[in-house]
Amino acid sequence: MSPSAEAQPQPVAPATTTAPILRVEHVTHAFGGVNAINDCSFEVQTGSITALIGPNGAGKSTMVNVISGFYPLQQGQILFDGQSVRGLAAHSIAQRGLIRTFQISRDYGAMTVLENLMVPPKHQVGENLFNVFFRPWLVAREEKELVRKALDMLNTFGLYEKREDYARSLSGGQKRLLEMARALMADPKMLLLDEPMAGVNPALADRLAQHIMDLRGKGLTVLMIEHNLGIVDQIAQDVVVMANGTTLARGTMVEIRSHPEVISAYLGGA
Amino acid sequence: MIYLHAIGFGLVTASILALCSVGLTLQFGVTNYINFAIGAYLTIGAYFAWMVNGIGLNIWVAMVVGGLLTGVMAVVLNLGIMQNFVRRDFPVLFMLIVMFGLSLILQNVTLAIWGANFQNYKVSSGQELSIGPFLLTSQQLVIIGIAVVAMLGVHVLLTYTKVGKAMRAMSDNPTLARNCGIDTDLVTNFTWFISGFLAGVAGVVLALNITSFQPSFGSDFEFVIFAAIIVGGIGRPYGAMVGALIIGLVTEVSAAFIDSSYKNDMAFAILVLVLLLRPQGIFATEGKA
Amino acid sequence: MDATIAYLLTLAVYYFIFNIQTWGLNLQFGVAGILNFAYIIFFAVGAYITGTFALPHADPFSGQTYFFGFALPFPIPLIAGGLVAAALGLLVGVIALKRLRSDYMAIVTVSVGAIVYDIIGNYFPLFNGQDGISGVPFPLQTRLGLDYNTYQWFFMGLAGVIMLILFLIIQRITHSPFGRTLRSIREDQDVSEAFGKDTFRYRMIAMAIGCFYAGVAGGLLIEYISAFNPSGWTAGETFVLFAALIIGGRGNNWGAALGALLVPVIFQEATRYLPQFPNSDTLVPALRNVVVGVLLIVTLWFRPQGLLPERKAKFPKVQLDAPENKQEEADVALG
Repeated sequence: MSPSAEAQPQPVAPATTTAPILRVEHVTHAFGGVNAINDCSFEVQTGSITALIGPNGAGKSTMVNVISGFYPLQQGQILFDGQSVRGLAAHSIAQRGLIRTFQISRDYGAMTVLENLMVPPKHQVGENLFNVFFRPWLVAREEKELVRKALDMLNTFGLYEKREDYARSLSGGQKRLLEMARALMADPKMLLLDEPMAGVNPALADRLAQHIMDLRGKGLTVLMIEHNLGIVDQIAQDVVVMANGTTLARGTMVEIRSHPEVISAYLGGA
Repeated sequence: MIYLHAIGFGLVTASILALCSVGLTLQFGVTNYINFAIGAYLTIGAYFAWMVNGIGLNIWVAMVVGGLLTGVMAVVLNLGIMQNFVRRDFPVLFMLIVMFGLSLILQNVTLAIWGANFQNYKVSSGQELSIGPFLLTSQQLVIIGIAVVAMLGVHVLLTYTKVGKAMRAMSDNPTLARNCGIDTDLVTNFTWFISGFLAGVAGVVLALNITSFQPSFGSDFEFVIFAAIIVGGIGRPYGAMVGALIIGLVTEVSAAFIDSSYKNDMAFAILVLVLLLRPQGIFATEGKA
Repeated sequence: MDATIAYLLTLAVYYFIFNIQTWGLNLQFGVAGILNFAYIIFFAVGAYITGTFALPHADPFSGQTYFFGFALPFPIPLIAGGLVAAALGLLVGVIALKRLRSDYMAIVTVSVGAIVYDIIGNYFPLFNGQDGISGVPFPLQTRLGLDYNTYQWFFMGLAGVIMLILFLIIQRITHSPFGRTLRSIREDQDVSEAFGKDTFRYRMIAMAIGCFYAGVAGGLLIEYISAFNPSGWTAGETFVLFAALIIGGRGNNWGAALGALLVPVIFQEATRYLPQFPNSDTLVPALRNVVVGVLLIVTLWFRPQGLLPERKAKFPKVQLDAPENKQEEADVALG
């Protein structure tokens, strides 16, 4: 089956191909005999911003945990970038370029904002103790590059002034910005954002939305859980609706809004 | 025949283990950090009872008084130390350091007050009875009886009383429990009391079973208790009962095969196996792991 | 030699040894957030391995029984002590450092401590049980042909040099990107895992290095006092080290060194010279441990970061082309 056969019409023509970077196929996940996810399938097109929406208890967060390897894949199949994630530890999936964030922002509180951004880059030469002791010049050179990159990132996200502050001293909104800036330091192919705008004011939500759209311009794929349908409407090309652990509908926001089951299960109740 | 006797002793050890591990695991469920001072609680319970027994009261009365005093001590320590750290949202990592510190403080206070000498209770050792294939003293029978009564009591508490249901609710979801109007401070203190009471009683019966005790005897037993609650799934009272049974039987039966000074090390072997194969405990499908 | 000088020399060597221990513990607990309540076990294993590698083959008539007895020259026994302790650390780590709650880590290490203590104390063929081993030769003494007094100075210098080397190494590790990743795992293991860090592997390395330090410290002690038995490494000793680290300042190797000076050296050693009175041999150590415990809890309450807190990481200076252009906008957005 050609993946493009199912590709949705895009409101904004993507510069990249329409092959899916992530395919979730018939995934079922149970906790103690109760299915939190039940035969759920969807895909995320490369270079798209896809929103995962649905009422509380629909299984969205469980899905994020399964995709990112924090829960082992029990049944079904998940392909990221053409490869199955089955049996992979969370860090192995992350190393392949799938970087997730968490629903509650989880900063490294006792580390400075800048140091927070210095952690995610993958395969740092200085993470190997052999290099630390016997090739210190390589470590020093890479540190300098990473600091430059991190400061640029902080600048983009308006946190440059805060670089020397402890992350725990930031406000809730600043922590959201830090979370996104930090995730980008890992050079992801795809970002999995778990409610990136939960609990932020509307002005900051707009800013975060703008950042997410900028990422797409740089060829990044984003899958985000989001409750604010206004934002979803504004930035997402594809929308996947989950309810009771399975996919209820897929399509553009316009299509979703007219979907009768979605209206009764989700939009109508909201 | 010796194996059947060993099974009898195993039941006694399991009874002692069940007493303290059920309390420990209940307290873990409610407070979400483990009590590293549990061994010291056992020791102190044994000494409280020893003093009561020393002024001429019957050992079983002394046991109940010792248990009550240990329960009160557990509440006082919670109010004086642990609760203050919990209020400040101390991370579990540091709560464990606090508990580790507390265990050394209690152990050394015991040593300072009562000295390092071995003590024993004024009690007739009881005659040996043959019950079916087992050969047990009447005292050991009473120990088994106490444990059975205590386990039934815990079951009634958790199933039929308001406070017991509140304990279960806090164990499952503390935030939700608080939002549902449960007085979490009260429930926490009550849990500490129950846990302390059971630890105190366990200390007394452990001392009776091994005939003499000194300030480190509870701490020496500590990792056997940990093994029981991990086997049963940490935070699960009914799991702890089964865990106690398994660990009690294995340690005593293994003593029939190996040098009995290493029998408690068998508990550790089981603990390691469980952690490597089923860290959430052997019954639970998921736990607080 | 003057008694005071001899005493100060001894204290200095003890201090160097305590430093090495608290640095290893700092890498594990202060930097990586590993709760190793059996830390002193690795110190003991280092001591026994060093001792039995340096001792000649066990002579059945000497009244001592022990494994090994290779009569190896310095510094091979010391390095072996560190390496065996590190290997044991990895073994414990396999069980304790899987992605489990810190309670399990603590339970496993406490249990390991009890078991190892039990086995070494009871099984005489291994390290002579409760009696411990003695008569370990002083390193290089015969080769250098030094008299007793000069040798005391020599040993202090030797221990000082070893300590200094180990300090430079641990500082380098702590402030490297490797140390940074360890700190991130301490702060939030899940997040670091989500950034592709193999957190188990990092913690295993920290465990091994920390235990190596403990082992070398133990080895140095037995080389210095030439004897070692189980009364020297009870659970209380681990606790003293935790107290030293937390009071001095976890995450900071200078803080660890300050804590080692304050808690084990001044507090523990000085009180050994309190006047004797009836029952003082059990009462004084008991009260000492009580006071250390209270000090630790008080420190956690009033100054949880310790006297010399972990410092903010320093980075090379980099000039950006257009800094701060977004700051104003951010301030507006954040209200």
